[in-house]
Amino acid sequence: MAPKKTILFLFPLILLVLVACERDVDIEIPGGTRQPAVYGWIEPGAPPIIIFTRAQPYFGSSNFSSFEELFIHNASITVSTDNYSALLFELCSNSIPDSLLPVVGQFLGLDSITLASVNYCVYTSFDANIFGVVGKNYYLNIATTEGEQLSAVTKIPQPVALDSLWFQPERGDTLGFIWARLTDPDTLGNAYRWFAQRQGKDNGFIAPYGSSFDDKFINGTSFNFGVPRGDNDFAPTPEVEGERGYFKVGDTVIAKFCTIDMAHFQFWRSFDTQLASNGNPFAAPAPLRSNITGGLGIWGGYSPSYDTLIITP
Amino acid sequence: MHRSRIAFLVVSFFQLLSIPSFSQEKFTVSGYVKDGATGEYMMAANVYVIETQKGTTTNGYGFYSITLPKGKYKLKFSFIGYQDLTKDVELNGNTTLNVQLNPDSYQIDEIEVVADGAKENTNSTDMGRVGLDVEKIKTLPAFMGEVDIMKTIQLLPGVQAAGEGNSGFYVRGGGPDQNLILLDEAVVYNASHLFGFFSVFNADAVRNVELYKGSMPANFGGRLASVVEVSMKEGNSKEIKVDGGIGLISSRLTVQGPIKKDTSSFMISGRRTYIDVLMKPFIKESSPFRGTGYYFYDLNAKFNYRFNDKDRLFFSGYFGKDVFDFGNKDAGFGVRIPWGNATATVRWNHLFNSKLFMNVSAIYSKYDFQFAASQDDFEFAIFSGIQDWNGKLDFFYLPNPRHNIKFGAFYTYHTFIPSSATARQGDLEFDTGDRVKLFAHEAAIYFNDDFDLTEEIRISAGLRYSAFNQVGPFKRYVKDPTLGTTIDTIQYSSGESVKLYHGPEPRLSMRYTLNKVSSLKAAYTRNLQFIHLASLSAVSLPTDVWVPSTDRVNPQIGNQYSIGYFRNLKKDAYETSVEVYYKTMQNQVEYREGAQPDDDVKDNPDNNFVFGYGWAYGAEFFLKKRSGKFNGWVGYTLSWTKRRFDDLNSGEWFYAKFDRRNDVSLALVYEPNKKWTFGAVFVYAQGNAITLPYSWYMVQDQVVFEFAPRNSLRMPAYHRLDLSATRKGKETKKFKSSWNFSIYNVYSRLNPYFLYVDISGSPIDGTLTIKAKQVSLFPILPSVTWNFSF
Repeated sequence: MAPKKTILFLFPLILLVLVACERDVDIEIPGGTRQPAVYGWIEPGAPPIIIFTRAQPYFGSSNFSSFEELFIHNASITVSTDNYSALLFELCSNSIPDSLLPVVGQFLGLDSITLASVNYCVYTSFDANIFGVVGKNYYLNIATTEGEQLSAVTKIPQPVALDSLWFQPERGDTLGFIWARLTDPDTLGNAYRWFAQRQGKDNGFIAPYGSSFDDKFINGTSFNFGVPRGDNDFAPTPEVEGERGYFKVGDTVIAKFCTIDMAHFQFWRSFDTQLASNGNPFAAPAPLRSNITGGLGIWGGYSPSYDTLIITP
Repeated sequence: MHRSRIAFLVVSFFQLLSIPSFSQEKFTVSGYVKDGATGEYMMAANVYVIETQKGTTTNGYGFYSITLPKGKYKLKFSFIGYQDLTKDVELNGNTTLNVQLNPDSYQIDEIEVVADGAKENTNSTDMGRVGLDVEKIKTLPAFMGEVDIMKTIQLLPGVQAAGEGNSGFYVRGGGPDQNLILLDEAVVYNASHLFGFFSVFNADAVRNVELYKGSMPANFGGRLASVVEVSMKEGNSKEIKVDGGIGLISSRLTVQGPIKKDTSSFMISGRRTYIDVLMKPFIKESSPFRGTGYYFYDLNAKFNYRFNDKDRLFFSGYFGKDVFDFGNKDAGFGVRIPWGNATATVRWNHLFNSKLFMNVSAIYSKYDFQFAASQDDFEFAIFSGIQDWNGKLDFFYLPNPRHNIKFGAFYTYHTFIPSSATARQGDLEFDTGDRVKLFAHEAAIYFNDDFDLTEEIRISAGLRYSAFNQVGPFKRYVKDPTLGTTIDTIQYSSGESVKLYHGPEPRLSMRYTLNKVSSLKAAYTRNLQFIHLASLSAVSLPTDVWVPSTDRVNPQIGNQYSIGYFRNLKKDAYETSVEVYYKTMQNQVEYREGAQPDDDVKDNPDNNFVFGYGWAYGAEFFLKKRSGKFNGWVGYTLSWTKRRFDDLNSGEWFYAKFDRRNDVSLALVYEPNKKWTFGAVFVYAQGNAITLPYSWYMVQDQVVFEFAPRNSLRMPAYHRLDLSATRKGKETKKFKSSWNFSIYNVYSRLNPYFLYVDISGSPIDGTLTIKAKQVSLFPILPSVTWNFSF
C-alpha cells in the first residue's frame, strides 16, 4: 500500500520490548456509551446492507452476554437517492433455511459460516430501484424504537480498474503477495479499497490491514503496490500457521478493487490506525472517523472492478 | 502597625524621594567574584555590606556593583558551600574589588554557620526561582548511574516528571513546549536522549542550573511556563584538571585548564553510551537483527579569554546526537533514526564603568530529526527540525544599591522544517510535496528594574515587548472544511510577510517583609509564545515538530498570578514557602482528533491543529534544610490543569493529560563523615489523566472501540524510592576518586507507563475477552559508577 505507516509505530516499540513488563490491572472505567452503530454499504447492482448494532460498555455495568444482543431490531431504516426512497426490512439468519444461507450470504456479501453460527441480522431491500448505481448519492436515515435518529450520505464513485495483477514470492517460491499496477486519474481526491477472495478457501472478500489508500501522494501517476492476504478467522479451511498473510501458488484469487469516497476512505484509514495503535504508548487515542450523524460507524458506497489471478509456479 | 515601623516607613519614603538631590558624595565598589579553586566566575554569590545591612548578588557573569556614600565599609562575600570572605573597603572614589571564594570542604563535620545566602529566600522578589548546585545533585541517586540535572528539577514543587524515567517536565500546568531550556543562552529544543530517559546535559560539564517557574524576569521570554538556565563550566583557569566517570551505560571525560594562566581557559567534555558496543558480541553474525543498536553522545566545549578587567570573550558549544538502528535482514526491513541538538554561543562581556555592564551574544541553535526506513524496495524518510540564528544584547545598570536595572534587546531568525518526507518504491518517487521550510523573525526589547520602594517593600517591575513575523517563501494549503482535502494553495514569495504578531509582556513581582524571617510575595507575569510544539503522541518524542505562529496559529498568551509566604526557621537553617498560583493560557495547540503522522506531509501541519484555552491553579509547599550533615528538601504540590477546545471532546472542558492532583517529592542527603554520603529520593504522584476506550462495537467482524471522553480516566498512582551511597576513595593531592552506588525503584514498584485495552477472541463465538493492561518499564535497577579526577 502507499507509505507504510506501520513502520512509524515500530521504532519506539522495539525499545520497549527490551525492558517493558506487562500485567493486567483493574481500573474503573465508568460509563460507556451504548450508542447505535452502523456498518452499512452499497454497491452497483446490489441492495444496500445495514448491520445495525449497539455499542457495549465493557467494564462494570456491562451486561452483554451473547452476540445476538448486539443487534438493534425494529428500527425504521430508509435508503434514498435524490429521487427515490426505499424502506428496508430486517432479515435474520435464523429465519432462513440453512440450505439457502450460502446463497443469501453471497447475495448479501456476508460470510455464510457466520450467518449459520449465530442469529445474524441485517436490514436490506430487494427493491431493485434502490440497488446501487455508479455516480449516485445514497442517503441513509434511521429511527430507532428508542427515539434515536441517525443519518449519513455516501456516493458510489466512478470505478477505476487496475492495469495488471501478478504474484510475487516473498517466502520461498510458493508464498507471496499479490502485486498490482494502478494508474490514478489526474484529479486529486480519489480513494481506493482492496479486497481479495481465494476461491474455495475464503467465503467472502477479505480486506487486509491497510487496505485503503488515497491519491494524496500518487495523484495522476502509475505505480505498483503489493498487498498481503487478509486474515480469515472463520474460513472453512483453517489457517495454516506460517502461511498467514500470504497467497500461495495454486490459489485462484479474485481481486475486488473499489473506489470509495473521501469520508468512506477516512473511516477505513482510522480503522487501520486504531488496530495499529492499540497498545502503543506513543500513539494518541485513535477514534474512528465516522460519517454517521447521531451514531457510530460507517455508511459507504463501493465501486468495484474485479480481476481474477490464478497463481501458477 | 507598630509605631516605630510607621516612622521608619515615612523616613524611607523621604529617603527614596531625596535620592536625586542627595548631597553626600557617592562611590561605587564593583568587581567579579570567582571560585578560588577553579578560577571560574560565580553567579548569584552574595555581597553584603555589614554597615548598611544591605546587599546584592552577582549577575550571571559573576559581576557585582554597589554604590555607597563615601566611607569605610566591611563587605561580606558568601555563597553556599563556600567559606565567607569579609573585605574592608575605603570608598574615596570608585573602587574595583575582585575576590575569590574558597570551597568549604573542611567544615562538613560541624553544623555550618549559616550563610547570609539563606536570606535570599525571604529577601528577594523572586517567586518560584530555584538554583541548583550541580555538586549537590551528584550526591542524589542517579537513574542507571547517569546524573541528570533535569530529573532533579522534577523533584521541585510545581514541576512534574513527564513519565517513568523521563527527563521531560511540566511546570504549573504548562506543556513541555512551554519550558525555555537554555544552555549558555542557546535554546535547546529537545533536551532529551533516548525518548526522554536521559537529558542532554552532562553533569560534568555543567556548573549551575537555575529554574524560573513563577515570576519570569523580563529578560526572558518566548515561553509560557518556565525557564531553565544551564551554564557550562568555564574551564579551570589555575591548573589542568581531568574529571571522568565510568558507568553502566556510559562513560564521561572532562578536561579543563588554563591556556594562559588567569587569562584564558578551556573546558571540553564528552560522554557516550555503549550499550551498542557491549551488545555487539552477543548478536551473532547470522542473526537477522545484526546491525541493530542504539547510542548517544554529547560533546561540550567552552573557551574563554580575558583581555583585561573590562573585556572578556567566551565561546561555547554543544553537540549531541542519538542514533538508533534497527534491522531485520530476513524481513528485508531496516530503520535508521538519528536526531540531535547543536548549539554555539559567542559572548562578549564589557564593563563600561563600575555601574554599567554589557553582554553581547551571538548564538546558533539547531535540532534535527530524521527517520529513514526501508522495506524491500520501498524507502521512506521523514525529516523535521528547527534552526535559530540569535543575537542578544543585555545591559546591567546598577545606579545605586536600591536599583538593579536590566535592559536589552533580542532577535532570532528561525528556520523550521515541520515535517518533510520522501518516499520511493523502486523507480517510483512518491509525490510528497516540496521539502518545506518555514521562516520567521522574532524580536524583543525589555526593561526590568528591581528596586526597594521602602525597607519592607521591594519591587521588580519589567516590560518586554515582543514581535514575531512569519515570512515567505511559504505555501498555504487551503482545505475543504468538511473533507479535509486540498482545494487551493496560496504561495508567498521569499521575504514576503505572511503574518505579524506583537504585544507587550508586563512582569511585576513584589516582596513585603513581615519581619526578619518572613515575607509575603506576589507576582503577575504575562508571556507570549510564538513557537509551538505539536505532539501527536501521549509522550514527548523526537518526532514532535516545532511550528511557528502562522496566519492560522496565533501566539500562545499566558497570564500568571501568584502569591506566596516565605519564612526561614531555626536561624535560617530551614527555608519554607507556600505559593499559590492561577494561570490562564490562550491559543493552546493540539492536533485534531484522529490526526495521523503522515497528515503533515504535503500539507501545512497547522491545518491539522485545533486551538483552545487552558487554565491551571494550585498550591506548592516547600521545606528545605540548607546545610548540615543532614540536608535536603520536601515539596508538595496540589494542582488542577484544565483545557477547553471547541473541536475536542465535543467542546466540553477536560483535564490536561498532565493534570495531577497530588504530587510529593523528597530529596535527602546525609553526610555522616568525609568518606560516605548517602542520598534518598522519594516521589509520589497521583495518576495522569488518560483516554481509554470505554465501549466496543463491531465493524466487519472486528471489534472496534469507542473512546471515553478525553482524559476522563486516571492511571494508577506513581511512587518510587531511590537510594544512593557515595564512597570517597583514598585521596591524594593529585588524585581523587569516588564510587557511587545507586538503586532505582528500591521496592520495585511496577509503576504504570501506559495502559491499554486488550481484546482477544470474538463476540461471534462467545470468546470475547477485554482487559485493561498496564505496561511498566523499570523494576528495581541497581547501578554503579566510578568517578575520578586528577
